[in-house]
Amino acid sequence: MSALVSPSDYRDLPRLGVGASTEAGTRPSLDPVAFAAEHPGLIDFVEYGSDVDRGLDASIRGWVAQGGATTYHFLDVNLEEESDIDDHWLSGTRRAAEELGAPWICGDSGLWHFGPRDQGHGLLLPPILTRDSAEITARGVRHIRQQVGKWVLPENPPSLYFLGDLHILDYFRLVSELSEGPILLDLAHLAIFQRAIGASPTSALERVPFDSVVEIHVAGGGEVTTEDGFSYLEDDHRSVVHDDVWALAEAIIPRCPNLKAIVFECEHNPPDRVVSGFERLHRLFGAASC
Amino acid sequence: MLSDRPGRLDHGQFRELAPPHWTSVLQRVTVRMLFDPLFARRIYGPEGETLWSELELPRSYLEQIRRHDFRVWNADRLRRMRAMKGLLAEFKASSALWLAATRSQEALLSFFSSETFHRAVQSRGYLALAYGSWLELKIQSTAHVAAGALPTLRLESALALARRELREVRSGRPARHTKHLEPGEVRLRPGYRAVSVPSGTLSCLQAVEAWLFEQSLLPVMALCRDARGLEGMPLPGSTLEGFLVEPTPSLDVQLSGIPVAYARLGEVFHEARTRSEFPSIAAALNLPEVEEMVDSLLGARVMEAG
Repeated sequence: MSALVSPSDYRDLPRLGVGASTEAGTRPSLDPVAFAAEHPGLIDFVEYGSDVDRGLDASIRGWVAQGGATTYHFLDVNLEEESDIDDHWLSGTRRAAEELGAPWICGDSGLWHFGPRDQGHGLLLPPILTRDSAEITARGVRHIRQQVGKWVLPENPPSLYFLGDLHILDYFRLVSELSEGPILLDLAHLAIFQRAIGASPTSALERVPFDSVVEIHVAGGGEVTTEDGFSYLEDDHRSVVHDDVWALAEAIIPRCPNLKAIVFECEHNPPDRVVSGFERLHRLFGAASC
Repeated sequence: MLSDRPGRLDHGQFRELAPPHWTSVLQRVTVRMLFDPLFARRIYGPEGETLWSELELPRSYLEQIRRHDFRVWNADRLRRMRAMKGLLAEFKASSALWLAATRSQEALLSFFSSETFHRAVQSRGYLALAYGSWLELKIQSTAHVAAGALPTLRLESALALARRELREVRSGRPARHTKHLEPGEVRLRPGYRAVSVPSGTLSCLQAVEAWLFEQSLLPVMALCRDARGLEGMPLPGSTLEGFLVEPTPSLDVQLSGIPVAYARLGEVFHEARTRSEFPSIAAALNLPEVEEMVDSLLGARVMEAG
């Protein structure tokens, strides 16, 4: 399949607004049709997370059937490992994205699994933050874009450790430049990175490639301490968003001129607990000039 | 240093075709650290220098790893349990029969500290096949394991292998089947495996699976002294039964009973054989009609010829 997208036109992608995340077949999970009926105007679209093996579930098919806008979040390809982007994955992902009518697809960079894509291999690993790795990822992004015919937004992943000599924002700026494409910035994951390197959440704002950010994720999370006393910021998608993440949202969202979508990742919470989060994101996005 | 020997189930047919990029080598080291706290401790200790030089990675990354709080690597204490859940889904009966003898969770989770595990991760092997290989050695070296454990493992392993063959073909990496068949060569098609095991093995496997299902209804019953155990499972008989693992339309595999003679023959043809070898195969298996049997399997598209 030839490229259906050109490097210049991601700025013309449709503005989707504020959306909710869901994941294939996972229960309990937010039912977008019921949620939208109970809270009109609160979710503009749904970001559906899945893999080629699970495909689309009944819940997302119901949302699409009633005309709901959707993006596709892959959970099963290693952008940092070119041999992982095989024909089976490409055709399955293209089919899912087309059935959803997704204007773009997205997913965390690095590795979704170690070794082959198989049972027991699932483990989200951050990319090695080097130019070498950014070049591999950019090649992967371009290849998928050409084969799937949609923009591919690589996302900064969460991790408790990072290796390499680049700041994660410099890494994604480089991936964006090399792939001539947009990115997805997950603010909870960025807060975790800042915590991991011992920096304040907003101390790296000058590194954000604002023009390239087409989608932003905001997710609930909080402090966790292990049995042996190690404390870290957990990205568990709880209903309450950490102050570090709100600080990043307030600082970054208004400065992204090509921002088209904000996803509140809150799929496992009772609907009434996430209403205020959606309302706050609507206010932020509405006030932004993008 | 890790040996270059593939696992017993994975005879090297799923190996990478090209050397991995150094970033992948480093990623695999971190995977090993995340799953094996003992290995992580070795990386942080004096032995780490030697391990690192064997991996041929820049030394700066060893220093970067060591700058992280050691507790990072074991912060997710359920990681090994989740991975093991996936592995047991395919080896549930043989694992249960082995665990009935060991009664040790640590013994089960020690797979993640085994050389088999580390070799599989570092060489991009299939974890399920590595686990099957490891379990075979464990069953053989553990006292009082039920007699049905090894034959049951052979059935489960055949299914696991066939699934990986299909997966490789689907992904465009047909593994051992990348080798072009020469004229006169014959073998089983990808996703087909033949297996002969002692009679009663399938009954044993099904009985263990039924027992596991009952346990899943009330997991707390495992704490009860009078809970029904795995005693009394069917024992393997003195004769053989044959099976063919074959692909299903839904891209999984299924097990069908076949005559023992065909199963024994099929086992020989997991690797390509030439027709000139047929007389010796016929003699070894005491099957004079090898030629006719192969032709019928070719006709049924269970086998393929060059």
